[in-house]
Amino acid sequence: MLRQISHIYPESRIKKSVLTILMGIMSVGGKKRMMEMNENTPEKPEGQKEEKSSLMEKIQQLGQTNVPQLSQDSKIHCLTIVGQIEGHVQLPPHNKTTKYEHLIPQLVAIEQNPKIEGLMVILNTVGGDVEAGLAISEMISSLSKPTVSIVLGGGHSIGVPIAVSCDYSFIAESATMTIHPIRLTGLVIGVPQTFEYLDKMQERVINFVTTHSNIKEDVFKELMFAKGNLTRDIGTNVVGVDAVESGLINEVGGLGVAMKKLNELIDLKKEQNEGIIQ
Amino acid sequence: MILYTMMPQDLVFPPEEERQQSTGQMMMNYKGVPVLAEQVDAMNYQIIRVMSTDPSHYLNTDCAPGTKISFS
Repeated sequence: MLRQISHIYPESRIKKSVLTILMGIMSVGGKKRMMEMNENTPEKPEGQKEEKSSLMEKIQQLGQTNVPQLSQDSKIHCLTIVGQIEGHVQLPPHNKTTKYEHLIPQLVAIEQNPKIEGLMVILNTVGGDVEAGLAISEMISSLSKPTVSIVLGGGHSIGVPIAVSCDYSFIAESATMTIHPIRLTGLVIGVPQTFEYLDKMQERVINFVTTHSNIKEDVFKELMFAKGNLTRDIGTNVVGVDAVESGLINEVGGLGVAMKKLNELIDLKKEQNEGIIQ
Repeated sequence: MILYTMMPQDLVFPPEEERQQSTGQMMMNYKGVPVLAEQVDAMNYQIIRVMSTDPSHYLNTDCAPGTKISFS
C-alpha cells in the first residue's frame, strides 16, 4: 500500500510527510482493530477453565469447596468453638485450637456493632484451658444481645460452661458432653495447697454452670464424680437427651430450631426495647 | 496453666521427637476478612481457616480455605 502511494506521489518531500501521516492513521487503525478483536474474542471458556481448575485445586488441597454467595450482611453472627480452647500457652501445632485472643475481640465487635442482633455459638470442643474457657463463657453470658448455643458432636470439659453461658442452649441428639473433675496436667507438686487450688478452680466451673443453667449443684457434682461411667476416669458422659433431663441444656435440637429460637429471642428483645421507648 | 480437656496429656503434648517444626501460620486480614494463613513460599500464603464471626464471610469465594494469596 505504501509503495503504491509513493508511486503516485513521486516528490520526496510530499511523500515523506504524507507517509508519516498515513502511517500514523494506519497504526491508530491497527490498534483499534486489535482492541476490537480482543473484545470480540470469546474469553469465557478460558475463564471457566481457570475457575474449574482453581476449584479442583481447592478440593484437592483441603477437601472443601465454596457455597453460593449471599449478598446482604447477616444480622446473626456465628462463633465456632472447635478443638482445644487455648489459653496462656500455645499448644503444639498439630492441635486444632480455638484461641482466646481471637474470640474476645470478636465478641467485643459483636457487642458494639448495632447491625448485629444475635449470636449463635456452635460448639464441638474437647475442652482446654480453664481460665480461657471461663473467660469466654463470662464474655458470652454478659453480651446484651440474644445468644443461642448448639453442641454438635461434643462439648466436653470446659466446653460445658461455654454451652450453658448462652441465653438458650441446644444439643444435637447424638452429641455428648463429658463432665469430669479438673485435674492437673504436667508437673504436679504434691502439697495440700495444690489440691486446694484445684478445688477452687473446680468450684469456679461448678458455680458458673449452676448459675447459668437449670442444673442443681448436687446433681452436677454427682455427674462429675460418678464412678464406672468413664473407662479410666471418674465423671459422666451425658448424651443429648440426658443433658436436657439433668437440666444442663435447655433443649435437644439442631441448627433449624436453634436459628428459630434465636430469631424469637431477637424479636422479643426488639419488642421490649420498643416498650421502653414508648 | 490447667487444661480441662478430654484429650490425654500425651496427645495434646506429643513426645519431643514427634513434635513438628512451627508451621508458619499467621493471622491476617485479607479483603476485610480475618483469616489464618500458612506460608507456602516466600511470596505466597494459603488460607487455612476463616476466623470471622460473620457467616457471609464464609460464603466469600475470594477467601475460602485453600485459596492462595500472593504478595508480588
